[in-house]
Amino acid sequence: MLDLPNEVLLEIFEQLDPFTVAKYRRVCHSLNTALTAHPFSNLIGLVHIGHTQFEGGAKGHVFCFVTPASFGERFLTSVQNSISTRPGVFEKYPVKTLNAIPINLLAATSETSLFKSFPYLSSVYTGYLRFAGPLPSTIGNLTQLTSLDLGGSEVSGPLPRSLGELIQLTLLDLTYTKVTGPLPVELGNLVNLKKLSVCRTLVDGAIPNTFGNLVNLEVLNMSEARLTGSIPASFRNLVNLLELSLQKNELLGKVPDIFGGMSRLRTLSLEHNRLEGLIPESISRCMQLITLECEHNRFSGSIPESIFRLPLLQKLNFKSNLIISESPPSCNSSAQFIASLDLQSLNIASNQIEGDSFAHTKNGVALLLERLDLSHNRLSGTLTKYITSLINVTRLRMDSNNLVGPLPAEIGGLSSLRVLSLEGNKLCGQLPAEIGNLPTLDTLNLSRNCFSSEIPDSLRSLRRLRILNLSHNQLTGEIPHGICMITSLSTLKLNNNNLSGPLHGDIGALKTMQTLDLSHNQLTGSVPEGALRMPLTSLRLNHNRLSGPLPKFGKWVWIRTLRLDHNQFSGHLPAETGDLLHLRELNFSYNQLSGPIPASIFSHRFIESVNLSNNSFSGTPPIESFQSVLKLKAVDLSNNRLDGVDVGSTSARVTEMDAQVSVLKMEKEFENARTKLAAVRTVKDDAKREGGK
Amino acid sequence: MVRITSSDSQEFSVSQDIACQSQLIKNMIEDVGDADEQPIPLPNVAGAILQKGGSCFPSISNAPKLTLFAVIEYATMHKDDPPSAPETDAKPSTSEDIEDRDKQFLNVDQGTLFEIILAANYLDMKSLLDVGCKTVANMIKGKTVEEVRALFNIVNDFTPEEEEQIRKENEWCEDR
Repeated sequence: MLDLPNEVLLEIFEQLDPFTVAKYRRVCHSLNTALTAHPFSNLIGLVHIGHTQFEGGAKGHVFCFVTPASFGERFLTSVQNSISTRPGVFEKYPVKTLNAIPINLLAATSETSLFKSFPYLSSVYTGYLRFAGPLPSTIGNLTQLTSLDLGGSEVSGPLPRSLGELIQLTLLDLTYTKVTGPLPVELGNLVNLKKLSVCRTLVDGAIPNTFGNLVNLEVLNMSEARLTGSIPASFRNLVNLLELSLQKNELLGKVPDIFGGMSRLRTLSLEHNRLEGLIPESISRCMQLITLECEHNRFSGSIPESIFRLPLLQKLNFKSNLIISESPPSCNSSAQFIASLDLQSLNIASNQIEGDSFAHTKNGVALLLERLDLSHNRLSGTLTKYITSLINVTRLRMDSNNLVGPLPAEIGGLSSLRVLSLEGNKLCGQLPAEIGNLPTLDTLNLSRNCFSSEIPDSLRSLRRLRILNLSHNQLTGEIPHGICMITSLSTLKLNNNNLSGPLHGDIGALKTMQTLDLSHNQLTGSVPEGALRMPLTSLRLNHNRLSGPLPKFGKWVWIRTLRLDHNQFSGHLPAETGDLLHLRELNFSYNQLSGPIPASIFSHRFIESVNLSNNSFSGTPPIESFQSVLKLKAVDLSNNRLDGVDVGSTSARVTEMDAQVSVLKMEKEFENARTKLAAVRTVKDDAKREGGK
Repeated sequence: MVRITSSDSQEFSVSQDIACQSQLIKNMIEDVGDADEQPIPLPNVAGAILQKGGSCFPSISNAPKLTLFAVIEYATMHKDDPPSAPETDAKPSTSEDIEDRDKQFLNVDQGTLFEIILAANYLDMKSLLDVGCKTVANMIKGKTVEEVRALFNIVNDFTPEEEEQIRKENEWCEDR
């Protein structure tokens, strides 16, 4: 047989199962030579290693690539074990029964055509056919492949350099796989690629310069991987790009000025890297750009003004950089303009903002703005010019700046507005009634300003408002009845103002109200019965002048924080309230409450803090009832008229009680604690007797 | 008719459609033009002796069929076959699909079989080479390394160390 010419020998062995002929290498030197050379060295096959059984009966069939060198029980077992079991249950086929089916190199044009060697699967929806395990080095022999979409598969391990031989590929998608290691330089040979994605993989190392050869690329997505190094200058050749996504890697250094030729670019995502230096001016030549995301980098200098003139730009984000703004931030961004500490340049910045930034908006640029977030900057000046032309803005946030002057009535013209947040400025004057003209408003946050008017009743028209925060201003007058009409409210914070008058009985109409903070005002009257209908989790009415009996707080079954302290409530505590499972903090201090302290007040399962001090409670405090409360950390009953308590020594007593409560909490030794409490009492009694002498 | 001459100067006359199953002969005819003028020499194909049971070719003494004769016999048997479809890899061929008459035809001793394969290879007769190789493959299939050595009288020319090394590399397939 050995006299046969080599090509005949190969032809004989090609008739046999290509994944078993390798064993005949051992026959003699000649066969060893023949069976380790082409075509046996190039073989690539698929093994159907199992299936995933989904709920509902569908099966997902799982395959791995093999070569004569890799095909074996150990390899197949390791691939089977690497497959995650979710979703569905993965059923491994016994490795001894597995056969490798060679891939027909000439017929394999796409990932789905690889399965043609499995006729029994021809009726299976290709969405149920998946790859797992490493890509073999011989994958480069599948030279007819035009598409290799392995996105979402269980493919793992390093990317073989021979991928660079698949020069007909127009699509290489490895999104959300477990491929690792560096991107092979050879991928730069795939000049027909239109889409390349290694998004959400474990690839690391630098981006090869050769990627600049991929001039037909339209989508290059290398985001959410572990890439390091800098962005290659060769990217300037990628003039057909529509999307360049490099975000969430560890890319370093300056971004080269490479964007001048990318006239089709719509999305440029560079966020969450360690890029530094200037924002490249050439970005402003990407006239099709819609999204530019640069946040969480170390970009410095100023943003090229020309970027703000890009006609289609919808999303621009420079948050968390080191940008010194000397140019107007008239952009739809979450920009964080950290101004220089030099006060003079700060003033320049603000002057320019006032002076000419909205020249652009007059040109219609800002008409496209939907989200404007300029929070945490040093913007100053008045709001008037910022707001008027932003007619499409839905979210306007300018928290923590130095804005002054009134909230202009023109605000009512921003009819698409859903979020208006101007917290932490120095805005003053009236709250304009025109706020009521914003029918889609969801959140209105004007807290921590200097507004000093009454609250306009027109707020009643905000039928979609969920969050209303006007706290920490100098608002006066009564809480308008109109607020009770905003039935969508879940958070209402009017605390720390100068509001007066009573709570309206209709407040119970706020059927979704959870957080109500009216503390630190001068509200009077009693808590209306209707208030019990609100499903409150947090109620702060402290520091007002409310009077009358305590509300029947046992009805607030969701309540977590209940602060009614520093008012003029009188009467008794209810004997029974039921177990308020969520209650953590209860503060009724500084009122005129009297009568006994019922044990039930401590019976709420997870209560941590009870303050009943500075009232006129009498009788014996139910100290034993503390014992069952596991989380109780602080109890203050001081300055009452409780039995056996010397007024002068109450604070000392409370401290000791706290100590006992701590013992209870930490050791959970109730018996022990009871003994100690008894001891405390004895000491107290002795002290009292001695004091009496 | 086409005249062909074997390496031992035996001349055969066969019809053109039979002779042209050999791509080699077909090409020669096309090169030479008028085939009748002179015989086509096939210096690499021996055993063109017609007498049955006799032989002047030492390596295949006692061969019941002599090579060129056998090849012509095969070609005659297949002269009415449809032209083979251009090679497609859509359906991988297996060593199983051999026609019964071909099985019968190749039911010869090992030496003759290899001579026929060699001749088919030289004459570029795709279908004959194919069945020849399949037949040898079937002889190998399922056999151990040692059985293959014995079957084809191959001497193990590895040192024990070399053989052990290959055995290690082949651990995955040796036991299959």
